[in-house]
Amino acid sequence: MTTCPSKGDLYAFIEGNQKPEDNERIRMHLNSCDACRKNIHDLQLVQTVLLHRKRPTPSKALLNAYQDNLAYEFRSVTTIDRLKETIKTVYTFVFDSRPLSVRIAKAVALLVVGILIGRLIFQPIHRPTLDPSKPSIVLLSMTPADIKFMTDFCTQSEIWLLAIVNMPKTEETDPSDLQFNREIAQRLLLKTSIIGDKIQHIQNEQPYSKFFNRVEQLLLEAANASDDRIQEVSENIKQTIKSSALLYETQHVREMFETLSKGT
Amino acid sequence: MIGQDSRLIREAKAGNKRAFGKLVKKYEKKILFLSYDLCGNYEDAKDVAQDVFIKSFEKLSQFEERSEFLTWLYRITVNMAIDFHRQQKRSRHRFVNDDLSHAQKSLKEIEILNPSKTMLEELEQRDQIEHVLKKLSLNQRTATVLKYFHHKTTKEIADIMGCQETTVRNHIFRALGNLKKHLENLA
Repeated sequence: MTTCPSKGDLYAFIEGNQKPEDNERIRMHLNSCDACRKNIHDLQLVQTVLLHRKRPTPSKALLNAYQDNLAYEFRSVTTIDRLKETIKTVYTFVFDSRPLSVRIAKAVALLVVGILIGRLIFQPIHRPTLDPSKPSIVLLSMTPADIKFMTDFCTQSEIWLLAIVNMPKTEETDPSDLQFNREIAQRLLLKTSIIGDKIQHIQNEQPYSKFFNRVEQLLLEAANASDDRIQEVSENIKQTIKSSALLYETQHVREMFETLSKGT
Repeated sequence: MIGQDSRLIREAKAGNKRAFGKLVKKYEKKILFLSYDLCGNYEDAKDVAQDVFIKSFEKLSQFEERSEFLTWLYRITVNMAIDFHRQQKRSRHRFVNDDLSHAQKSLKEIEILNPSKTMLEELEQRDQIEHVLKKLSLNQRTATVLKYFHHKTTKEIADIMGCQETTVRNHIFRALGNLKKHLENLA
């Protein structure tokens, strides 16, 4: 009889992890060794018991609680959830206080903070000091031809600004539309030089001169945009118009010149 | 499947809790069952499994996707179960009737599970193997549970337990020997 294999070898034999020659050696040994045969038999018996073990199922209540907890923990947090959470926190902060005076003080403090934040967020848009119903004496002395010229210029500028502001998103913009807007800007730019040459008094009149300078600046940028940068430049102009009151001002100046032309 | 896991993991790493929620849904039962196999009762297993998912979300940035996501979750579960047993040991010094409370939990579970069978019958049937499993050392138990109840290969078990394959074989071999002795004693 050969020497008994180690316990590790016996286990590897059961698992089938041995080399073929080692397997054969152990098989030969088992034919002649009752102790090892019993050992292997016992180990296989335990393995069978383990493989046939049925894990008890968890109770429905426990499984539900477990799954619900996890679903809650890893839910997607929406803006509404955050808002609800904030409201809940504020509510707890104010109304969980014991004495009424503290509750009132907290509510007042919150109100003040709310108003301050609100004022910061909703700052009134700066309106220009242009008043179409009260044109200055300098403007009143303009000739009817000049007034008509200015009315047309303001109307066209307003249409151009609106076209830029209402331009679709970058990826949806038609290049021919951009080029058309650029052509309009070039034509309007020519008119601004006429304003500069012929209507000198407007250039000296505040706040109209500021307004015309801003329009001229935008027209200059649009008119000089190269084909490869036209998209980017148009987008910048769009943002400038949106963030300022330029469209509103243009409308007012046009109305003022329309009133003047009616007067003449 | 693995590709889908990778996509969800990428999204979860970017902070998308919902994507991680989908992974949780997929593996929650497997982790609960492994926790049960390591802790011995569902009440504690539930707590351990929940902590596994919370911890794995916190540590997700450290998961380098060199192994499967489930293997990584198994590794965390094994570590959490070890922590749980350490805490149990400490609290056992404080609470004398710890075993009693466990027995009560066990009875409660059976009662909810199957009220038609007599409790004693049920306990006899299922608790024999559960009982002897509890007598194994934690390493032997972990290796055995992963091998025979979760059908992992020796290499995978070594990866989960962070040890050599030969060590895993030793743990399982010793566990089988110990189980044999304990089962003989019970018989």
